Amino acid sequence: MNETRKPRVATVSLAGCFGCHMAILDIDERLVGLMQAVEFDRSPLTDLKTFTRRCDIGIIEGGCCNEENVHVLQDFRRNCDVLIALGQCAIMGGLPAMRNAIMQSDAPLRECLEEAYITGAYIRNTTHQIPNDPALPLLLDRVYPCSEVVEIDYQIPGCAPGGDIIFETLSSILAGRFHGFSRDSFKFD
Amino acid sequence: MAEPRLIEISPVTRVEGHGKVTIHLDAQNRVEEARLHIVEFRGFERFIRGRLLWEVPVIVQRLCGICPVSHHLAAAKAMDMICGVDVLPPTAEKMRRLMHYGQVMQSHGCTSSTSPRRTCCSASARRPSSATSSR
Repeated sequence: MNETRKPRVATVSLAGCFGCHMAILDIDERLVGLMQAVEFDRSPLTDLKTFTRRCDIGIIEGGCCNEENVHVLQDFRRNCDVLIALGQCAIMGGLPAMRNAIMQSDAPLRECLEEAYITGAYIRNTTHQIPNDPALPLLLDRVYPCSEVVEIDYQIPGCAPGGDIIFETLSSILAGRFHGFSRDSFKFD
Repeated sequence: MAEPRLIEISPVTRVEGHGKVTIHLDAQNRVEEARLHIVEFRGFERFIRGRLLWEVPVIVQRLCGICPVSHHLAAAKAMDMICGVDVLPPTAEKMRRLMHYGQVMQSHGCTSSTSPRRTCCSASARRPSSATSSR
């Protein structure tokens, strides 16, 4: 990375819950240092909706459950040198991928839509229609992890990842000395 | 005379993020219809079926990472109903309140005075008029 300018970082939430973006805020006061060390481009943190310039690092939260997610992810791959999948949804599809594993069903997606909009106990939908406005992005047959759609350079696991691990990983990648996570940094019991 | 037009606002930035508004204008540039679209569909309603009762509060936290506590408590209430609990022990009641106050503090402490407050799904759910399309 060129030392004469600040590294540029872009972030996005695809089929995620924004918990990983909240986890970025969990780096607490170190955020001030990070804001001085890097420049945020397209990100919910800046409200920029498109890339203004090519970025050094793209941070992806969430997997792909609709066509729009795929397009945004491909846009990030085109515009970022390094892509980081942040959190379980981006890495493996996460909880939304539970819809891939609905047993004894020929059409899990249809079952999900019908439960949500027609047959659910507290649904009042007199037209019995599933939303089909052309403005809605087409849902994919299953939920895909980011690495099945584009090449991903780094993965930070966790649901959501802890603030410490996000900060350590980001700063070591920025410094060009990331050599994997220490065993101590993960403790899931 | 102008053609009917469609104005698209996407994403809507002052909610949690996965929203889109389309405004349909007629040939006289009058608003015919305004629609709020929730573009993220994940199917929690279906895939929590068949899970163990006590897993569900933790699963539904992932509906929204900004207001996970609201979803956790809603599922806890559903668990109460399923088990036929109508009176909570005082400690449980206080713990739930404490959790919720903690979330309110976290949500409101994170946004600076210079930026308008973002709302998340629990906030919009309390105001159904802002969450449904107006015709």
